[in-house]
Amino acid sequence: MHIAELEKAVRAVARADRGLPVLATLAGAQGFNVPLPAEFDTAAKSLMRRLQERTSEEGKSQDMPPEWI
Amino acid sequence: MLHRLRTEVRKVVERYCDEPIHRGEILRALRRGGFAFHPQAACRAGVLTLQVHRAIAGLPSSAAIRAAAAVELLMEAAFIFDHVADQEVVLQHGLSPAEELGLAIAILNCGLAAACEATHWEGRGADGHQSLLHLLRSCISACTGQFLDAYLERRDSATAEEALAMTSLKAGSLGKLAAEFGARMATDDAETIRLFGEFGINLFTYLQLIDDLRDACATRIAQTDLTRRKKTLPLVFFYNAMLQSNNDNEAGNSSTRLEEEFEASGAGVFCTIAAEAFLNRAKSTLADLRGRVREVKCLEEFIEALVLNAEGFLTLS
Repeated sequence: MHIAELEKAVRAVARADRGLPVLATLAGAQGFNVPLPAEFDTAAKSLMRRLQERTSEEGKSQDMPPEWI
Repeated sequence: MLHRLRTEVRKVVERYCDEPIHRGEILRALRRGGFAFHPQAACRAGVLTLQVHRAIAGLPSSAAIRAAAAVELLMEAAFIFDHVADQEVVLQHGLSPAEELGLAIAILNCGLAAACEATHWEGRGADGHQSLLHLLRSCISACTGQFLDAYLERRDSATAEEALAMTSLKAGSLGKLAAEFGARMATDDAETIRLFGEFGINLFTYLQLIDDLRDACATRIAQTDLTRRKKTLPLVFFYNAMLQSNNDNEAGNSSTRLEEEFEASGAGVFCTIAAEAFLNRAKSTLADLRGRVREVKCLEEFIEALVLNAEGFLTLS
């Protein structure tokens, strides 16, 4: 697991301060292509998908800190 | 299942702890929040052992229940040690750190005694001996993780690799212990046992990372963790981000400001993606086990419940 690669990628996105959610950006949902090791790319996408599903099912988006989605 | 597990845990303590004062304190400790006898306790480790055994062999035998009680007691001992190490128990329960450690060591040995009984009841002979040795090896790995946790805390800084290795040893080893012991009580197939060991490591590492994130974000604990410079994965990310931005003056910041900086640093997303990678590994291992065991549905449901619970903490924090 190349955790340092994930660390660099998240830090770069958080510092870019485009006003975009970090997870969505890493998961490619904002149109930006952020290079991530395959395992973390898959993880970002599966996490994003699960949070979106839960948000739409339970209407809990107001409870989530904005940076999550 | 949970009721039988708790009953078995109590039986083991009553069987091996003769001195009433000592036995009473152990049973009282096990009623604390998060511990086995607390009404809301999930007993994750013991239940994982039972679910793995069920996936391989169906309805659990008496030996399997005793094995699960053994694992749960080992986990409870680790909890008490962890609380002492985090200085969360001093006077909180009316006991000194030395008394707390005395309870932890007794509970650990109750767990090992129960593990000996379980393998004996299962009639596994030489295989039972091997099962116990593997259980002890995983216990020692978890102790290594506990040691590294304290060792890293003493240092000024740590890398994400070091924090993750410590987490995987500390929590992942307990997951391996729980899943592998359940598997060894039900089968001799080396590959099935190995896969369950991997499953346990990845599942408990996921849970620990989510717990670390919850603790970092919880106001009461954030003050403690941040000021103590704990080297959990999310906090290592945060400290290193602050160092890189030449903003390492958190001692003078308010806890609210620190929480805001923590959120803005991306530490939450970083830790959650890392945790998700371990969860995906656990799910992938479970897929590999399909066809090798009777059923994996019970474990899929177990994971689903754990994830819902873990992410409930995240969204509500």
